[in-house]
Amino acid sequence: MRDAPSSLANSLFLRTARSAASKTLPPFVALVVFLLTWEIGVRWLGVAAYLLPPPSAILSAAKRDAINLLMGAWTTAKTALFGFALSGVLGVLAAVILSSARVIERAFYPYTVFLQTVPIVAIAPILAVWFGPGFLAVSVCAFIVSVFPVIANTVTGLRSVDPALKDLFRLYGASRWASLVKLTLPSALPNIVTGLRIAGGLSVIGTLVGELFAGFSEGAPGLGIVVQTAAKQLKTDLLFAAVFSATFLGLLLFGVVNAVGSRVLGRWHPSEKLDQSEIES
Amino acid sequence: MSPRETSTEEPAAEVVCTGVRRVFLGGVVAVGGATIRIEPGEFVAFLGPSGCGKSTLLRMIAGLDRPTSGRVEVGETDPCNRSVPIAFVFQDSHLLPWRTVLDNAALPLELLGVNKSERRAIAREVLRDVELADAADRIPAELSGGMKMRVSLARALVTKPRLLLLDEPFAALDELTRNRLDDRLRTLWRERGTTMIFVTHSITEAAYLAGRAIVFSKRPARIVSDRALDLGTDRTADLRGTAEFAAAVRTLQKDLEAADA
Repeated sequence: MRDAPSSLANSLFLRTARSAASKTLPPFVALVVFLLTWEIGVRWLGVAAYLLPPPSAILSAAKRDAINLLMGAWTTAKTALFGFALSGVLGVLAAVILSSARVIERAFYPYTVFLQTVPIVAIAPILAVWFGPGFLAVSVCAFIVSVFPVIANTVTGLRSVDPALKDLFRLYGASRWASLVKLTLPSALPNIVTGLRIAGGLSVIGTLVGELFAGFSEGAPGLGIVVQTAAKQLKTDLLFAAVFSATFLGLLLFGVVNAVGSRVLGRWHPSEKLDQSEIES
Repeated sequence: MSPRETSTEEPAAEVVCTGVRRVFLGGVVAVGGATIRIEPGEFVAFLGPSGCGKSTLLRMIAGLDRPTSGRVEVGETDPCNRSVPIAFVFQDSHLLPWRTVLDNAALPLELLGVNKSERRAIAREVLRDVELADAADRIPAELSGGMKMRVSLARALVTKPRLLLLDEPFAALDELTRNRLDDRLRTLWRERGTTMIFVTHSITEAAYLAGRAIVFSKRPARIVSDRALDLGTDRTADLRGTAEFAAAVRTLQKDLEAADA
């Protein structure tokens, strides 16, 4: 299988290109086939546009209402991001406090499940009353919806610290703070990243729901409001465009968390070593 | 600076266990009354069937666990006070995967509050002793099992401990690597004069390494025999082929069989 040295670099390039293509090509082809089937199917069967518009109609609606959608996406993104940040910070903090003592964990951990089961649709109006409708109330919605996976995963990570390493830290009389910063949190990092990855998508969902019940107010209406308005006016093409925009936001957040996560965790992995030595020097 | 680093003029600590018993929650007796005296600078092997409680005894000597009754003293103090520097090498290397070899080796000094440049300088020196100076900037994921274990050894030696406890440290390695590390450990012991206690269930390893072997019965651990191994201080691979070595192994084998009966 060995090539001559001169063609080695060339074949290496080809191989990398080929493997990149083999990863991105199938989902792309699947998407194109899906959209084409949709487009042709809808036209051929003569489905009414207010029930299911073809992709081309959605695209032109998106163009027509581009400003609306972009402003809405910006409002939603800001709000979701703030809710997500709250989840990240408060979720990890809560997990650290929960796992600091068995008694605290036993007493409070069961109630964090409340956060997952709370009917957000019912609680959003209350948040609007408390915080006033708008950014803060909606962010808190996003927070409530997305914080549980952060807490649950971080607690798991904090619990699964290598007991021998705990002994080692005890042997040298490490303070609780030193153990937390130098051992427990770094050990839990893979789990924290997993939690944040789930929280990213959930925070967008929480924002959309929050906007429906605690939104409007200052600035441009978010995507949730755009969806609601489009539904009331039977502008199904715009509705779909807004839904896709929201989906894209969630994917974007997921992708960013993923990239940052693998960048940080990659330090433990030999393949990322080159980058690391560059940073160190 | 903590007293641990100023106590280097005394390289080795004595270990005295008096009637040490350890009963776990639920009534399992792990160690059933052990009385041992280990002189400063001795190299002692704890030998016994797997799960017999010898590791529990080692943890109590490290001050990581307390006896239910009886007393453990290291250098005339309670090891839980941590006034005598003790180091512990675990069954696996247990390195921090996100740190370089150098910062792994320097970790104990970091926890004791030694500043960065000083602790790195000391760690570099110790890494040289285990022939890992070139690997200082690598991360554990890039190392072989034997190299990781040497980092673990360097980490244990970095505080210049007066007592080094090793809990089946090389059990997971292949025989060749293991023999090499055994030799390295003997050399380190001779150069530093630290008191060492080495837990193992390998008879040949115990006979090759230690100046004294204590054989424990199966749970609850009791001392079955306590023998000096007069095989000289200069031990090389050739020793394994000699009649004295074979005789020592046979004696320990008999003790161990009696222990397991």
